Amino acid sequence: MKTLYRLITILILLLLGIVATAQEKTETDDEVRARVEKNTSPYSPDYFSKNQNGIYVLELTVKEGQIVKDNATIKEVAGKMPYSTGNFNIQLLGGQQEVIANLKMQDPLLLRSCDEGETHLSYLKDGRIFIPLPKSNKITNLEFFRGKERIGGIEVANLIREISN
Amino acid sequence: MKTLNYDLLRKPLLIVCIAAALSSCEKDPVTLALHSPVYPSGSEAVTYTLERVSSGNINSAELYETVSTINSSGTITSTGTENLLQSWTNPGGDLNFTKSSGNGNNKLITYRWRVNTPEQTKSFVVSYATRPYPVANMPAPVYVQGDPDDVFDVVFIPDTDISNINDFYDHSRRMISESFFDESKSRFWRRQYNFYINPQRGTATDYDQISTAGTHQVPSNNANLSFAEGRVLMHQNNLRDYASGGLYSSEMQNRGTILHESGHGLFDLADEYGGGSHFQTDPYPNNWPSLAAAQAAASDYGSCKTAADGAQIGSDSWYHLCVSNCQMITTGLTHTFYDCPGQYRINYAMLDNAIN
Repeated sequence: MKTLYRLITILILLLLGIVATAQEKTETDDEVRARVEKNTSPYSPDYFSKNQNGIYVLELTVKEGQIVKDNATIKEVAGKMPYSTGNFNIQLLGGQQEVIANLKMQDPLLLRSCDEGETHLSYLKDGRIFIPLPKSNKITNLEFFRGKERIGGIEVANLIREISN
Repeated sequence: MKTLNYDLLRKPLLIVCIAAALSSCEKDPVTLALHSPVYPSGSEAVTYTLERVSSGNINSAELYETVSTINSSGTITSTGTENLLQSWTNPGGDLNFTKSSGNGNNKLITYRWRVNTPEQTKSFVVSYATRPYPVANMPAPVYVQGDPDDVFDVVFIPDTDISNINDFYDHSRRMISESFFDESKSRFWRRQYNFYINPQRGTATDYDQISTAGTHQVPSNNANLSFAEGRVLMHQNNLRDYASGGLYSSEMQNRGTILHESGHGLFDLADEYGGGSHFQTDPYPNNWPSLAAAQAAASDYGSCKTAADGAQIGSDSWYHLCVSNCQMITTGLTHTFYDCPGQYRINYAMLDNAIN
């Protein structure tokens, strides 16, 4: 009798596994949306006034196509980090040069026109760019990558220290 | 081994069966909850509309409204009670209600539609601020639904060339209804967007004049917009538009440009025209570095694509699966549609943004 119970148990568990796998593989758009909406909290009117919802925004200079620290400023603003996506990668390093986090964003140096014209892409030579950072006093350096190619880096320990004190 | 209790097994089986039976699927009619003007002054009348996108019966509907007061810090100082504005029984066509008295200054309004169809009860909850928004240097929420951490936030920024700001407000409303809520995949995800209007202006420049006019002049509160995935500098003059660092310009009336640029900025889609910005995002790319890679990926998009759809992008060394006028090929006055690779990517980004 025990063997029969074991067999039935195994069969049921297998069946459940197959059902779960099948559901995972065939998740419809509606099911994805149900999952997304289940994980979306409603808008809170005081979201931007909550102390815990803050990020740092670093404003940097671009000089001859290079990101430099000249006249860099940092400020704390209300809100959260935007969804991390894009081909521009920023490595956030700590005091021991350990990687604290990796961020992705749209390339702030890329000027891209998708309207009709002869050329569509160029790069910022001189100007200012804004880089949002999580509110962490552990950040000391930023390393910039276009895709996997390193294109520069700056030290930000003083700026971070200044704003976090 | 202990004797197995079958009652314990019935429960998970039952849960699985119920879950399968209740798998969520929006039933007809598909509807849009809208309000106009999108950013009314405190004394302006506001019309709430439930617009039918597809046919189908509505048994009954109710429209509720809550008016809260906010201060200059953005804190709610007085939360109103929810009032029933109107109810309908077996209504035909679109449902409209106009509140002629306006809602007053320093208010944040939340309206809620409850719609009963023969198969489903639907609810839409939207909040908006009255003008002027009392929180200095912050964009005013004009159509917000979800926690900014979980949804895509888009800020409309007026250009200094706009002579009548009401035109800008109107086009902001129409960008929502005629772009984001009109393209089918974007409309499918309509609850996953928040829209804002910025109080400060920026100045767009022409891409072909950057060497003399410089790049876009960002609004003075640009750092405060860093939370937003999309920042749209809407202008009046005819310019060759471009994007840089998450800020993109568009003529106010261009419904195609904004969706194309949102494809980049919100969902990391690559260009599908020759000479554009090409890369292979992961997962669900819409560009591949070889024809073989594009053809091999065709099966990732269900029955929508076949290997035969693989094609070179202009004369670039990149390939795609788009067979007609996909949104990532084109910009301009009218929008087209996100093709299957783009749609899969959008699904992924919506889920990733909500759960991470």
